[in-house]
Amino acid sequence: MRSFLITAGTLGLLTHSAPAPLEAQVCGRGALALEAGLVRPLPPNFGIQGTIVGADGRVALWSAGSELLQGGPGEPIVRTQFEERMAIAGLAFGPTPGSWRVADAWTGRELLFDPEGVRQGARSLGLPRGQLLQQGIWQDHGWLLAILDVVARRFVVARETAGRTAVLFQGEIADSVAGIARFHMTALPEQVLLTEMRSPYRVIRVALATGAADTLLTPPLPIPSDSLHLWRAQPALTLDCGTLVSVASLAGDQRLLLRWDAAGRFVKVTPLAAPFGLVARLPGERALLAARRAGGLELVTYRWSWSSDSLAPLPPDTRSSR
Amino acid sequence: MNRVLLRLALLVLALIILTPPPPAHAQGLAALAVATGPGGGAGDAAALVEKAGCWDCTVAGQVYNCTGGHTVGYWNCSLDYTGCNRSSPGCGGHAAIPVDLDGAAQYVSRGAFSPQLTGTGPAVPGEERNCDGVVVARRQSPDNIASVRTRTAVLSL
Repeated sequence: MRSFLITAGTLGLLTHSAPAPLEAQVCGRGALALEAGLVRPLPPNFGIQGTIVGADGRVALWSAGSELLQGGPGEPIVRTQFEERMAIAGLAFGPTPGSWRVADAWTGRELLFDPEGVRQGARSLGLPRGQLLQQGIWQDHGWLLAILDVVARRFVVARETAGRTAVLFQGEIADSVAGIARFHMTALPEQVLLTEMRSPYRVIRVALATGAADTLLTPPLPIPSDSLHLWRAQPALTLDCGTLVSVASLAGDQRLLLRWDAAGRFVKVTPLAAPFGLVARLPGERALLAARRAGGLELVTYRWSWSSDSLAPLPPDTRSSR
Repeated sequence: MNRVLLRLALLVLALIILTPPPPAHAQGLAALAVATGPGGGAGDAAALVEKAGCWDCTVAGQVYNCTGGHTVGYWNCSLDYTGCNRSSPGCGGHAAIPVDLDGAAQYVSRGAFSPQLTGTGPAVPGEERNCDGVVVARRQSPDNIASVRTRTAVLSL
């Protein structure tokens, strides 16, 4: 694996401060403010395909070309390139420091790499023929897999453990393979959030223990009908008191930021005219990562706060929702 | 004269026959990709500089694949249930410009404009769109950059 040490000044992906402990949990009924903090320029032509954030604050981003940017608190940032031909559907920090797990969409296998990028092992993820891996998230001791079942013509979420898969969620059967509704996955401790990529941009919560699902309703959005096919939602992020989704026009800088409250009620849609997208939440902090293009591509840390005059205690049943 | 032409034709034919096909990859997916072809013409790629790590559609026998080591850009094709698809089918030289078909692969979905990526001149200076109207690359003016920073400094949601 080719490695490039990126200086903090050029690509300061270093965590700029120790994570601040969460304060007493309160939910805002009013406005949510996101304030930009640390701006981290990304290399030219690096397209963010996916991001993982470790519990210790380590961040890794990968591109469609299997290029990696990764670094943790107090460490220099390393830019690396996997030489293996693969399509990374999911990435996870490996079983040993510096190693990596990759869910490869091309082969439907998990690949293990040492810190030098040398493949150390591979195993099947147990996908039957006709099931195409779209996304994988490592959680506990296995993968959560988002799958496109081209035989059944439906989207499927499965939990994989030791090469065996158990279906958690199945989307509706489509008239055609091209018509299958596709979703992004966001893993939470007890749930997985599914964000529909295209209109109507549903957000479906699936309980990991039972597979029970409910939908956060999305109202009709202010998008002209003749350009609806050019808008895409990005993966949902959970805050301490709600859920955020950014919806992007591929034909311009128009963005819509959607917010639901902790109870799953839709609160607000905020238009934004800037090339911007929500990327990931930083664990243990009231902060999230977003990407924007201001000349080059940038990764920006946003800290959030609620209107001080509209705070209310967080309902007990939502305290684990982050 | 005719003999010379005949020899040349035979030489070209022999070269075509002897040129090995590109190796197939991802057979699991490739099996689903039989008899589907790239949307763009091969001439689009030939006009551009090859660069390791980039992607394009290739064919081995009846199986089409999306393989690395081809045209400029980092996502020039995708392999799915419909086979191998060029990024912007039917857009001529624009087909080599990377674009994300689903909007899933890029959070911002706008590459930096690079004139050498384009096969033809852009309709709007500093901006490239594919045949669907999707902006795939552009150059931002200093005013636009400043505006983006201002608009995204504090967001009230």
